[in-house]
Amino acid sequence: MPILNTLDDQVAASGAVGQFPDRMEERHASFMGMWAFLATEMLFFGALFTAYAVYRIHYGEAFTQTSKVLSVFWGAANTAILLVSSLTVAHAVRASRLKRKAECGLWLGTSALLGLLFLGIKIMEWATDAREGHLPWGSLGFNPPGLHPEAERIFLNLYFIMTGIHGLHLFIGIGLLVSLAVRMRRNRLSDAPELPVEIAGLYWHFVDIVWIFLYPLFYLAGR
Amino acid sequence: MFSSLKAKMSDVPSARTLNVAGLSLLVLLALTTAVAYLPFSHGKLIIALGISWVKMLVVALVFMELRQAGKTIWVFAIAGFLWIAVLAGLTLADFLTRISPAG
Repeated sequence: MPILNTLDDQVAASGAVGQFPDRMEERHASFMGMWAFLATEMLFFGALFTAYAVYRIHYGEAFTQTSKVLSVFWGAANTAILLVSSLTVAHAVRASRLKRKAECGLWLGTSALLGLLFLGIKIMEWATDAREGHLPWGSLGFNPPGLHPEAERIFLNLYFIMTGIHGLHLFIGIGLLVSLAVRMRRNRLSDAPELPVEIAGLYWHFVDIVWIFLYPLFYLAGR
Repeated sequence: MFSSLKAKMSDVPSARTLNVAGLSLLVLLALTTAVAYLPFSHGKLIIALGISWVKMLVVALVFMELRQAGKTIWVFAIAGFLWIAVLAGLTLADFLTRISPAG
């Protein structure tokens, strides 16, 4: 029978992980915590979607007109990119569970690249909007696309705020995936490397779902 | 409860399942976009949002593995929707029933 000298030895022998009695309970707590966080994120975006609904009901005509300044091509391309990135993240989770670290790192890297491509296209779109005078803020030379400048301002405000906050979420997601890929490569993850990949994956899929709704509301509203 | 959670959550999905889900998402995206160009104006956005709900369900059930998740996870997922329903419901109940003093 081994001699358990220190408290650490005793904890290790009991199978405990950090503050958890075992891996199973760590897993349970991690998933529940992430879903609780995602529920608060749903409310955060839910408030913005509700604001969209209220103004859309009041200014339906102006909203459909202003929507036409956005490019359906780039909106659809970006949606496809995010959907494919969700698929590659799901493959990363699968590979992590199969303990295929190199494959997992490859999927994570691919997903991060797709995320960067999305952000690149989004920044290009924002730059085009700025050039064409669609930034709805006072001193930036707002050039209303239609006959209802105030309602058009509201649509474009919602567009920039919602896609901007979504972009910020995606940027954080890219950081998560890159850091996981690097730590996976350097073998810096614990003996249960799938857990952080699964948790980051949940976040990535959530950000994808938000865009799934932003796309029709902003890009397709005027077609 | 914990043992069932581990057994289910650690299941490795088949690559085929994931690819079929990914492909169906792209088909649904094409469908959403095509609907927007149909030659009528009313209700197209509602259809597009309906398809978006289907896309969301594919992502949540397959990629986020809600299918296999335990009851506590479902409670959090459903709670998110319930609170949005309260938030949006009460907000719209105000805005949709306002009467302008000017008539």
